Amino acid sequence: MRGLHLLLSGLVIALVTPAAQGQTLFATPDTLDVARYTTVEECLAAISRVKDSVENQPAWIWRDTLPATQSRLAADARAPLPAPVAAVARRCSARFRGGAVPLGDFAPLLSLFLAADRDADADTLLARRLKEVGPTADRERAAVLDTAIHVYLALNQVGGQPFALPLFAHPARLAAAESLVTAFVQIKTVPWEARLDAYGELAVLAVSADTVRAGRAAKAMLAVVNGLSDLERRSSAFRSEAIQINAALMFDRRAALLDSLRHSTAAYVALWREMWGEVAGQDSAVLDGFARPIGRPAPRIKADWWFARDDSTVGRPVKGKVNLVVFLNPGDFSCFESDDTSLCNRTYAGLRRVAQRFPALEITLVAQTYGLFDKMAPPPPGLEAEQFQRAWLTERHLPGALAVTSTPFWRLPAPDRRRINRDVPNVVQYSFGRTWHVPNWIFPPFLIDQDGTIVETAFRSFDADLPEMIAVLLARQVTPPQSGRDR
Amino acid sequence: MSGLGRFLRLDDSLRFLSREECATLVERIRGFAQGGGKTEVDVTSWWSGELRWARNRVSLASDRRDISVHVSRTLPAMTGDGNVMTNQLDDVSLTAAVREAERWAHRRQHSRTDIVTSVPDFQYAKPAIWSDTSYGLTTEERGRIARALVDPAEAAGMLSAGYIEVRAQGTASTPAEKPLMYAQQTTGQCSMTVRDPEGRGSGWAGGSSYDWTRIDPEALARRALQKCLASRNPVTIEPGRYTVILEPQAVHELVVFVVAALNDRHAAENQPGPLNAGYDTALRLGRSKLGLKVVDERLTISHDPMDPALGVIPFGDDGWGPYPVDAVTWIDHGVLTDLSFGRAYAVRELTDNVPIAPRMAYRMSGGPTSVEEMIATTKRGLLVTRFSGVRPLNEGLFTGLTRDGLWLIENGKISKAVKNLRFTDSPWFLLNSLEQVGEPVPVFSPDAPAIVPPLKARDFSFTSLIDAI
Repeated sequence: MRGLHLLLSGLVIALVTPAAQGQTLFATPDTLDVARYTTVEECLAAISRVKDSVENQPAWIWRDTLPATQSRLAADARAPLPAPVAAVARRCSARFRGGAVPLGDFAPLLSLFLAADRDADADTLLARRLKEVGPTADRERAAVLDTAIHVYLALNQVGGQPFALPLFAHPARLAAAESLVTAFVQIKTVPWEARLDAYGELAVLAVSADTVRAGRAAKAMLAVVNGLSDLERRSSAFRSEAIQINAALMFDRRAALLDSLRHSTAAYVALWREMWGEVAGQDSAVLDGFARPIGRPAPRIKADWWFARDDSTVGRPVKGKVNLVVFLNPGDFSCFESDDTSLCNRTYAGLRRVAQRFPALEITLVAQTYGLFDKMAPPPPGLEAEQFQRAWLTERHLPGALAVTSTPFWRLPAPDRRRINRDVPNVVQYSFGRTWHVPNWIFPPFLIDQDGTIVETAFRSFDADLPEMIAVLLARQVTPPQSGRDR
Repeated sequence: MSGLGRFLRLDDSLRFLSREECATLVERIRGFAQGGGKTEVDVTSWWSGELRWARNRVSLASDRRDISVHVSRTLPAMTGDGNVMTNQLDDVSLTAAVREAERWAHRRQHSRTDIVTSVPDFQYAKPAIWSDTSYGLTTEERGRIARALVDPAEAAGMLSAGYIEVRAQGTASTPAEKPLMYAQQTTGQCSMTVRDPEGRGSGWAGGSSYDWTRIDPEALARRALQKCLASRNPVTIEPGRYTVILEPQAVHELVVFVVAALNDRHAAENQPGPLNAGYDTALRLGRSKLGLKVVDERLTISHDPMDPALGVIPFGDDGWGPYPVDAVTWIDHGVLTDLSFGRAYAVRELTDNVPIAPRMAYRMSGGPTSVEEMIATTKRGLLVTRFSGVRPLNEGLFTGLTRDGLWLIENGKISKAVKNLRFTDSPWFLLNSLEQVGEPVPVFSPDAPAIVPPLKARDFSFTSLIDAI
């Protein structure tokens, strides 16, 4: 019996060994001969594989030294695909020709051609696909163009959901995308929200690579808004586009806004009010979605525990100085357990850069207790506050003083038993009677001038817009504007 | 050198690791750690003996075993936890696993706190989940059982297919600064399908338990054959709403989705579905139907790990720390009284450390009516053996097929076998449309034991004909 086992084992080894010797083991970067792949799906998978292996290497390096890390999209707009990735794309796509490939594989092939820098083939393929659309098939034409815009801009998300294809158009093909957007918005059946979004996506990607093109997109967005009826302006869709429209206004009127701020906060606020009136009309219900509490006195921050406050007799925001009030949200636990690429940590890095650049800026961090910290509950509120101090000030080196408020709460009756937090004074006061739209109650930072007036709350990030405004305010602090000359 | 020396192989006397062996292994792994901090280790070792047959002939007889070691390293200061799994137990491999876990820990930003160790101590139950008989069911005995199952079907000129498995598992968890938790468990299952060679009828029966002596293979064989013979030459009937008598297995194949919903309190509060009561705009949170009546008041759905027929591994860890699996009553006389949740929910929503452990084992209460009485009191209806391919269409609505025996009942008697039908209905509607409830019995549910009654319900919706037998 044992002899039979040995015989069988030998037979298995003899049969299996040649196949094993002929096997090519996978290693990164991809060592397989991708030119042998026959389908577009195999090629896109190979590109994704190599791209992941290349990009994941530096993912654990803190990026404090890099500008504008908040916007990965914008960075991608400028950066080409890593060389090994582009090489795999070129090798794998060699067998495909834009003029001959089947149109059934239109979208993945478009992505493949752009990954391989074969833009002419991509354009040819797109032209063939559009030619196939009947002259009256507006919906189909819009769908094809919408897909192409996403592929040319490598927009990996649609409405918060991942795009169905891996996209590799790096750098983003802004010129081609702009002409596609132009064709897309001219289709009569495309609703205004989709037109606005198409221009908005182009603007976001162009803003760090091609500001002229971004400016055109911003103007086009405002033109879409100006063409809306009163009914459309009163719709919930219009309010949900408020952030995007405000960003377009900010970009389009940036110079004028900064000029007005150099003059005075009142002038800056007046200009914004004028712009809101232009895009939203004077209907207060519509304005509610747009208006931010700029021009209002900044309420004094209250706290049960203060950390890293130099002078306990001075209230915050500090009168006579330029202030930044930042509401921190420990309820988002990814802030306490995450890699350096998380939104929290990138935001923290931006805040540290701002503090480093403007030492005269007074920063106040505002938090409240939640009855839990990280994975543990329930710590006493004082201990929870100390953990905040440790997490934010000691470990993440956030600048400024930290104010922590103990949150009163009650519990739903059994069997539910959930803890319901009551509003704390800081949140109530900075909500200004809920007269402005705070998305999910996560407050943006408040920039406050030396007179204690809120100047701005809408920033794309700590790296964009904010530094210029702080510089203006600090310059004003040195050389106060003349009174009585406000617009 | 002991059985857990530098290089470990599992021989036949060591088909899975005992508590002491796990403890030794954990200490070895902790000895490889560098840089302080904490080392958590989970060890799962299992053995499985299985036999599969089709067309009355054995197609697979196997004896498999494996070990899975999960090492989690948490380093001091501002680092996170790194997690690595391996099934290699030699020193070199384990050292490499620990180093890799430490590298991952270094890469992750994580606030270490003075209160992270506040997982409360707890006692876990010691349920009945081990059977020497199951563990001792040899390959030869499994073969003999299969022969005994195949022979009656073959003698009747039918084709049978089936599966027998006995499995033993040792599960050890060593949370940092806590004593080792350990449980060893056996499971057994036996199921078979008997089909007419011409494809005119099909019958099925199955049983599962941690204790092989609670499974009666010969009774299962008789039942599957009888169902096959009785289901031959089915007639076509129109789809539509029918009074149905669901055998316990059919009930289980629907109620398992109810139990899954009862195990996810977060979803019940925040996602549309039968247990969701909508968004409370005043409180700014989602509400569940806790405290409200959700099914027929004759029904109670609960689980107690100390129930002799419903034992499960009595502890768990969802990545937020260990917890015990205690008794729970989700639905009490029709009222939703509790929903399960893990430690993550307990910490975030209740700000405490006490989860109600999710689990799929359950007991459903019953009533006094036998299936025969249900048939006798039915003017027109369908008797359903089981369902197949049940899948959700949305949060509450499901579709699937009847299978392995469907009969028309007319005037209190089974009148004929009928062809299979597709149903499109909700188990929640079913449990609110009950006419009669029978005595609960253990059903075939190898992954998590369940005790379920037969039910008679009105207006169950069949939406199309299925030609397959």
